[in-house]
Parts: sequence; structure tokens; C-alpha cells
Amino acid sequence: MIKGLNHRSMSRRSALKAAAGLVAAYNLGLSGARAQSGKSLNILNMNLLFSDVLANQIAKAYTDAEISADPVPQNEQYEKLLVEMSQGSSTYDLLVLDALFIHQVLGNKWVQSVDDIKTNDSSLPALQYENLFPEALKYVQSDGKRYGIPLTFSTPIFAYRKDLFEEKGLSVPTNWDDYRKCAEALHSGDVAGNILLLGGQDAHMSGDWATRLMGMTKLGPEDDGVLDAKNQPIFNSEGQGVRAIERLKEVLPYAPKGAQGLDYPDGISLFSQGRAAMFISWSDVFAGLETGPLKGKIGYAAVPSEKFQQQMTGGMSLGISVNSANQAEAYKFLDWMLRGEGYRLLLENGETNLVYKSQLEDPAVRQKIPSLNVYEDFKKRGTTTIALPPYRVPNSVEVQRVLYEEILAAMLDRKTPQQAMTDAESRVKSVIR
Amino acid sequence: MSMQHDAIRRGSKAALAYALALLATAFFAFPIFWMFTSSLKGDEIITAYPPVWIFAPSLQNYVKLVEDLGIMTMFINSSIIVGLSTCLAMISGTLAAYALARFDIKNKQMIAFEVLSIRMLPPIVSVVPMFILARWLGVFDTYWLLIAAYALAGLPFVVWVMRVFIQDIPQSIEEAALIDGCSRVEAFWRVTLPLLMPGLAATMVIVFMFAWNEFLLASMLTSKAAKTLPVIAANTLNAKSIAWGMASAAGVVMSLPVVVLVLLMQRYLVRGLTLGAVKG
Repeated sequence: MIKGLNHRSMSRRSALKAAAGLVAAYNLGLSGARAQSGKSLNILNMNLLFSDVLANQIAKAYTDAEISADPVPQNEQYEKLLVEMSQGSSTYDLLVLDALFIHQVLGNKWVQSVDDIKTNDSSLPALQYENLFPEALKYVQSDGKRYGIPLTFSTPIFAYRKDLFEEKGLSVPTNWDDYRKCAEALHSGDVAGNILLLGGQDAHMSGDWATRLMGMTKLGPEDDGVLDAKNQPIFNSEGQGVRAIERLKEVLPYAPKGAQGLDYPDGISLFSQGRAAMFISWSDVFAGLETGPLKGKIGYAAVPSEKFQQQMTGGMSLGISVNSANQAEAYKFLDWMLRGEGYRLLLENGETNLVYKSQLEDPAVRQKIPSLNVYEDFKKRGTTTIALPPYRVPNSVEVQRVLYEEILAAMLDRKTPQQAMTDAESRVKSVIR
Repeated sequence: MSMQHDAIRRGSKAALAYALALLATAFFAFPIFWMFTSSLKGDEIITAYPPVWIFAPSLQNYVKLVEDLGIMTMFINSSIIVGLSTCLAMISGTLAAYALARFDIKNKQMIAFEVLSIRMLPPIVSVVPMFILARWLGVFDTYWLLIAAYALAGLPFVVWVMRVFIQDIPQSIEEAALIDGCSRVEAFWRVTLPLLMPGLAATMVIVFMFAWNEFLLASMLTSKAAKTLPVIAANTLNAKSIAWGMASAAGVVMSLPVVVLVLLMQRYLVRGLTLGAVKG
């Protein structure tokens, strides 16, 4: 083996190859920096459906600046946001923000108010917020100022297999007693009566337990069902937290056997395989369901309720980074979006969680997107929308974790529902900042 | 009669061994088969239950990866970053391992342990300091940052593994080369290094795989110019749903270079992975 190798020529060739590689790497490494020196906007994006449209179709359609909006997985996007913004980084001009953590962003003053940008530069046009669904503006307003534009608006939806419901002669449940009866009637060895998302912190907390909780007590204008206006726990003030857990436990026997610990992706996969008859989840989870094997077989309605017709809402927005060196350019991009072209591209490319008023009012659009039927149900039932509980405190993720742990303990019979809620109340009080 | 029985028994044993080997191969190959076939399925059949086994294959998922996610750029980024960082880690790690294995250095056990201790640090702990350093040095979102990070992350592994491989080579061979007039460097280059090829190949494949699949640093320390494949592949799995077709296609694209590398190194790998296994 030693004989067969010409070490001297190998050495020269390797050295040349390494040098060429280093030069190529150096040149490629600089290309990003060169692009940034021009008129460009860098967006810290997510990887949901709207994000793909933002990164591709919208970025191509916008000609005033080069848009870079490479998608980042949702959890990593949050971590990246924390690292970037806490270090005062100006890497990103625009930030995609989830209603889940927007209060943390606003509290830390990481996004610039668009009103302030306009005040500082009177040549900028006024943003046409009147084109948007007013409910969706909840997530971009704070203390009378506006912080960007909403991109999507979502709410929990009850999705069900129309064919199975017809087969059993069942009608769409509007309360949790009927829901339990449907789950029991539809449950079989092959098809579970319903799917519970007990495995995901967010899915469990804002999807399963909170959907039950929302209708149990009358919420004031400043309440979110979990915390009151002074950020004190109210989720079990009348025993409703315990009742919400009991509501979940009564349908647990009709969940897929051995697979109760699901999160959003697992739940939707199972449902799209036809292994469950009913599924409650956020509307943005259902994107793509209509292109799968169950196309046309799924019905959508508002989530069942208890005494009061109250439903959670959430959404994604786009804010301007306080550290951006291109705030005026970013503002112009938001202005272009609000004029409608960007939202048109979102709709054309499959986004179903719409915020643009004219699209939501268009009967053709409503017909094309069956899940929008839920807003008709809201009208029929007189539903009040409640901004995502319990995410309005800056350390909402901690509050969410505490609630998740306690509710799960009750679901797994490690604690009684009463004990879990008592512990949750004291733990939430101690973590609220 | 007895001989016939023996032959039948040996034949049965061989058949059983083959059957077990085939079963084990099928068991381990099935996920790869499933990933590959899923990458060729459309949305309407990919989650169908019972699974669709016979279908018209489509390259649509691969087209989407290239057109929507720009996977070719990330592939080039990954190749350059991981290739260079693996080379750096292998060169400097092997030299360091040689020094630790062959020279009488004071406290060399301590030094070796210090090198290994880098490996004990969870990557998440170093993300924020690396981010701050990267911005301070002006190398955020460049190849250099990830090359340095991956080379440093792979270094302890190379040093520790190569030290054992070098210790396995009798020192007398090098001494003979030195007596014959080789310098220390020549003895290493002409005598020790060729004998280390199996070990180098095995170590290189593992260091390459670590860097090729690394996600956290690639996600946190880049923005757009230096993004690597795992970041893009992860985009097919979002928090609320999974694009199974694209995820499978991304899995195939990500696996290919590793498979090719392992096949290229196969003849060294088997020796490399077993070398030193029975060292006293």
C-alpha cells in the first residue's frame, strides 16, 4: 500500500484542491454580504403555508426591494428570534410573529411601531388597515399603537367525517354532551371516535383543554379565560378548569388506542389517514387536508361549547424589527401588502386563514374554502372571540408549561383534577411576571 | 447415515442463518425503502391507509425541494462546509493524536481529557456565546463560522479515536524508518499514515456524518447565505403538520452523500471499525 502511493504528487494536488476550495468558500461566503448591501429586506420567517408563499410568490412579486424570507421551523424560529433580538442583532428587518409570543416581543420593545416610523418620515403613505378584518388587528396593536400587519387569522375548528356522520345519522354537535355521544357512536376498532392532542404542550393547552374551558364561564372584555385583567389566574374560579379536564377524560376512551399522546402533526396525519371520525384543532392545522385522500369527505364547523359561546382566536403577523437599518423600506413593503397584492397571492396559493376583508366577504372564496364555514357558525351562535389564552403575559411560555404539566397529570391519573387545578393556580401565580 | 444427517443439519443451520440475515436486512432496510417510495408519492396517496404499494411514481416532491426550498444551494453549502470542516478536524486531530500517542508530553492524559471535555458541552449551551462572537468577528452567516464550529466539534472525537489507532501501530516500524534516514515527519507521512487509512476512513465517515446532520448551530448561526441541508430539510416538518412527500425527498437527498461516502470507504471501514477492538 505504501508503494502504491505517490506522496509528493498527492501532496501538491491536495494543497491545490484545498486552496481552490478555500477561495471558493470565501467567495461564496461573501455573496450574502454583497446582497445585503443593496435594497433588500431580510425576513425572519416560519415554515407554515403562508411562509412558503411569503418566501416564494410574494418575494418574487415585490419589485421595490429584494425579499429574502427563507422559512425556519416554527420552534427554531422562536429560539432564533430570542437570540437575535436579545443581542440587538440587525440581521432581520421584518419578523414573523405568532400571537403566542407577541406580548413577549412587544414587552421587550423588539418591534418598531409603524405609527412611529410614519411620524419620523412623513413621506411614507398611511397604511390601509381598513382593508383588514378588524378581529385580526388585535395581535398588532398595543397601547394605542400598531406594530405591523396580520398575515393570518385562525381559530379552533371542529372537523368531522361527513360520510361517517351520515352513515350513523348523527348531526354536528354544538355542545360537549353531544360531542361525547358522537364520539361513542362513531368509535370502532378501525376508526377512533375522536382525536385528543394530549402530547403537545401547545396543542393540549390551547387546543383540547382551553376549547372546553372557553364556554364554561362568562368572560369579561379584559379576561382571556385563563388570566384576568390583572394577570391573576381565573381558569378555575368557578371550578371550570376541573370541569374542562373532566370533559376531556370522558372522551378519552374514544381516542385512538395507545396513541393518546399526539401533537398537531401526528393528529392531522392520523385524521387524514381516515383513522378518526372527529378532530378539533386550530384552523391552520387543516391546511392540506383537502388535497389528501379524504378530499370532499370532511365537514367543518365551530367547536362545541358549554354555556357561553366564546371561542379562542390567534394568528401570525409581520412586524418591523427595532434594530433594522431599513425600517422605511420595511414599512413600504407592509404598505404594498395592505394594498392587496400580497394577500391575493396568499389566497391563490392555498392559505385558508384569511385576514383581508374583501376576501372574507367574497362568496366565491367562502365556497372554495370549506373551513371558513366556521365564521358563519360564529354568526349563527353569536360567538364572542377571545384572544389566545394564556399568552398575553411576557413569559407566556412558562405559564403554558405549568398548565400543561398539571392538566396532563390529571389526564394520566397522577393527580385528581381538583388537585391539578389547585397546584396549577399556585404555580401560575408564582411564575407570572 | 450420520454424515447425511450432519449435512442436513449444516444445511438447515446455513438456511436459518441466511433467513435471519435476510430478515434483519429487510427490517433495517424497510424504513429506507419506505422513505424512498414515499418521496415518489403524491399528496393524495401518501397518507392513505391501507398503504398504496403500487402507484405511478412522481418526482414532484424533488421538484418542489429544488424550486420552493432551493435545496441545491443548501446542498452546495453543506458540501463545502462539511467537507472543509471534516478535512480540518481530520488533519489537526490526527496530528494531535499522533503527538499524544507517540511523544512524552507532561500531563498528556490531562490534555487528552481536556480535549474530550469539549465534547461534553451540550451544543445549546454554546449557541448564544457563539452567536455573540460571530457577530463581533463579522462572520455570522458565513461558511467560516460553521466550518470552525464543526471542525472544533469533531476534533475531540478524532483525537481520541485516532490516538487508539496510532497506539495500535507498533512504534518499532517508525523507529526502523527513522534509522533508515526518515525525519519524524517523513516517518509519519510515509509509514504511519498509510497504515492508519482504515482508522482514518472510519473516523472521517463518523465526523462527516455528525457535521452533515447537525441542525442547531446551522439554524442559529446562519440567516440565508450559509444555510445547510438539515435546516432546509427540517422546514418540511412544521409544528402543525408534516409535508410527508417533501420530508421523504429531503431525507433521500440528505442520505445520499453519506451512503456514497460509506460505499467509497467500505473496504477501509470494515477493518477500521474492528481495528483495536481486541486491544489489551
